[in-house]
Amino acid sequence: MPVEVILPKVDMDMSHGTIATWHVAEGDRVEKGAALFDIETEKAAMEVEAPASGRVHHVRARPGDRVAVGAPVAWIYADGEAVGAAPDAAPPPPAPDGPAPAVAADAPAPPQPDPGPAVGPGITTTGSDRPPRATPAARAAARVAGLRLSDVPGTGPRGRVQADDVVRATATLRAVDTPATEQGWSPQPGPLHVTRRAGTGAPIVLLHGFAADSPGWAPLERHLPARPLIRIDLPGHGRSPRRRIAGFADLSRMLVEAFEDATRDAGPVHLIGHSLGGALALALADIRAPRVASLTLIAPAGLGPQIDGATLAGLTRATRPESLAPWLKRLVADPDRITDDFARAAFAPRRDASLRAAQAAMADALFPDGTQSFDLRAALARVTAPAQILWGRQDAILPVAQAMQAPGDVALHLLTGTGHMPHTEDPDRVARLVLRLAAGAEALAADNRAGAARA
Amino acid sequence: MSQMSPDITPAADNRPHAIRAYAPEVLRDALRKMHLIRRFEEGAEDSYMRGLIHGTMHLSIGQEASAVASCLDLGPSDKITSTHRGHGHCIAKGADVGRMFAEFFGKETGYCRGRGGSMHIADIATGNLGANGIVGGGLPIAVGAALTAKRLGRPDVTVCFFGDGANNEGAFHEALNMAAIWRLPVVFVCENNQYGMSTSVARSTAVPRISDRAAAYSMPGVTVDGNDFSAVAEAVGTAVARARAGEGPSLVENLTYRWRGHSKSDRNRYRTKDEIEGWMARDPIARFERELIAHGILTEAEAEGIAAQAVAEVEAGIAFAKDSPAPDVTDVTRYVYAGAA
Ligand SMILES: Cc1ncc(C[n+]2csc(CCOP(=O)(O)OP(=O)(O)O)c2C)c(N)n1
Ligand SMILES: [Mg+2]
Repeated sequence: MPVEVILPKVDMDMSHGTIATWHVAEGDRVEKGAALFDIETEKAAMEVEAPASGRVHHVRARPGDRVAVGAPVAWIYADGEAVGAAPDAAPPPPAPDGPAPAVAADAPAPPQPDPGPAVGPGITTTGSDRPPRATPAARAAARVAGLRLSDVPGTGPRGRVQADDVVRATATLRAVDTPATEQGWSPQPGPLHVTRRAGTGAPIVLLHGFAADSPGWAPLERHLPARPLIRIDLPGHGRSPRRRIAGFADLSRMLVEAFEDATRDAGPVHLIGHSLGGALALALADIRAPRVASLTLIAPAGLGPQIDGATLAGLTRATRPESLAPWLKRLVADPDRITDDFARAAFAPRRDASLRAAQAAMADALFPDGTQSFDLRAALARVTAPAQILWGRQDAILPVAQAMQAPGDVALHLLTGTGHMPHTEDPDRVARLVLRLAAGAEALAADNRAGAARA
Repeated sequence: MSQMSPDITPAADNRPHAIRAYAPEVLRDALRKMHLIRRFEEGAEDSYMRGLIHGTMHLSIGQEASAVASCLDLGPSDKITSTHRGHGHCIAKGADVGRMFAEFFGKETGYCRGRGGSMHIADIATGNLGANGIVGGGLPIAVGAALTAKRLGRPDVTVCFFGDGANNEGAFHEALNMAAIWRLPVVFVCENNQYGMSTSVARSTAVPRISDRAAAYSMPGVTVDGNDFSAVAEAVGTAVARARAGEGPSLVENLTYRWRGHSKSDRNRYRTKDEIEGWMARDPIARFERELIAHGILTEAEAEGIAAQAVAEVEAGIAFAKDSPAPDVTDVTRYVYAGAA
């Protein structure tokens, strides 16, 4: 008899949970106690461990699915046990709050106010605990189109959203309902673009900032010769698809997915993020703590409301190097760095009007009215990996005073004569600090393992 | 009750204290209770994960030796006070697992007619004065019970269980002080499982050993390996005898570990897998079982029988609870307060 894997109750008032991610694929072998999948509740992300050793089959809930407590999501077959049809699930017990539907959502959602970006362990929550009824195909289509299901009128039974509805909604939203900032682009499907450099040791994962892209790490990379590098382009940036972003929670979910895919075969990684990428790195470290060996945040967003909205607008608006250059100069402490040649090179990828439009839409979602709409201070206080914050004292985009949010365990490096771009303005020092933290974190982890083995 | 074997003089005998001091059937019953606790906790965990249990719940898997050995010298008129992690204490004091599950499931057949749940099980009839959702809440109650025994001139002793987290509550200090000045028949048993939620003892407690605090209240204090059944039985047994003889209170610290998280919503960020596995390798049940077999108290086959019996008892208990009637809504306000004992 295969062992049933259920969606467990892990919290006081929990009747349902959302599958965040599977750590194994259909047919994979797991050891009892190994991480099987993560669930998200209103309060926290939790790892669920395998109840038995064997092969995982009949996986019947996918990431994003909301599942009733007690409903089976997969079965584990012992070695050598024949895999038959999916066993008939024992009916889920009546949940305390009434009859529990099995996998998938229940009643059509009443119209919900836009929950906006949520923070905390709840970085990943959407604020709505009753997602709309939708077929799996519709869910997938909406994900690809960058649409929220709650924006899509459902025509199926009991208002269920069908794949057709998503196609129709995509067209309508583009034609009629598109706010000015979204004109000139349409959401694209596909995973985020990842590039790699081979090397030895634990990899370093790089998350660039708003309006930047992965090639922007080149100056720093020259000072990180040995380690493997994994760079992720944010949606609407570099070679990643232009995606529609509902808010920070939405964006961090995309990053978690890309991060998991990109680091699936690696052990814990050293994570570096700059500015918006710093906020995303922090969110990742919060909800995927075991995957993060060390954390370097370079002028991270999310630690206060202030941000220089004029520069954000100027960067995304510029249609030629001449109008881009003055805003680039605001990014650095020494404006002489921004030569005409530099501005022309920086403008090259921005020639694409749809990229600029997608970024403008993203700025509007994340930094409405020139304000940081998301707050990661609580996440920073929870970070368990060795972590440091690097900030230029002359930063004109994010005030260096926000660095004072750092809790006692997080190291703070305030760089003199440096603006918002320490990794290009002072790459040698940034690389040194990154490698020092990585080495320290690895030595500490080795020590802890040895200590625990002795105990 | 403790029973010396007459044919062996203690000085010549280097067998563990428990093997020397207790009759084989007492030891076998203790092993049965430890298995019963383990299986009960697993059944409770499964039921909780399936959404059958309301609220939250705290499991004591890994702490079975502390619960059972601490109650070994107690009779039905002796009392215990327990904690939020109290299922093991109930079973050690003789509770019926069917009625415990019924309580968890909110059924009319539960110990508190389903009104209390996991953290409020009490059974005055067997001397269990109750679990407690308030950290340190059992300490003053235990002192009160001991004062009652003393004033009534009864020989009853109270064993007061509490965690390492509770030893920094004001109630702990007030309770120990009062018990000492009045020489009350109470034994304070601290189950030091190394953490109060996510806070380690090293981070929360100023003294290296919690038993060091006994000195401040002029009572004996001793720290033992809480996963060693015999060591706990000896330390708590000595303290119970002292209390019964009218010599006053003692503090015993059982060093142990909870295998599971604080509750099901614990993300285990504050301890490593290696640490947990290290403690799991020091399983108190396997250790006691090996000891009993090595000293000829038990055969392998009998050990398996005891384990199997525990499984069956827990299954029957869950079935009993599931089949029991739920309270009538018109009665929700009744049976909230205890009747006179
Ligand atoms: C007075 C009080 N403070 C805080 C809490 C919240 N709380 C519940 S259990 C717990 C930890 C208790 O730790 P410990 O006494 O070591 O017992 P353990 O959980 O380790 O068995 C805390 C802080 C509470 N229930 N009561
Ligand atoms: Mg504790």
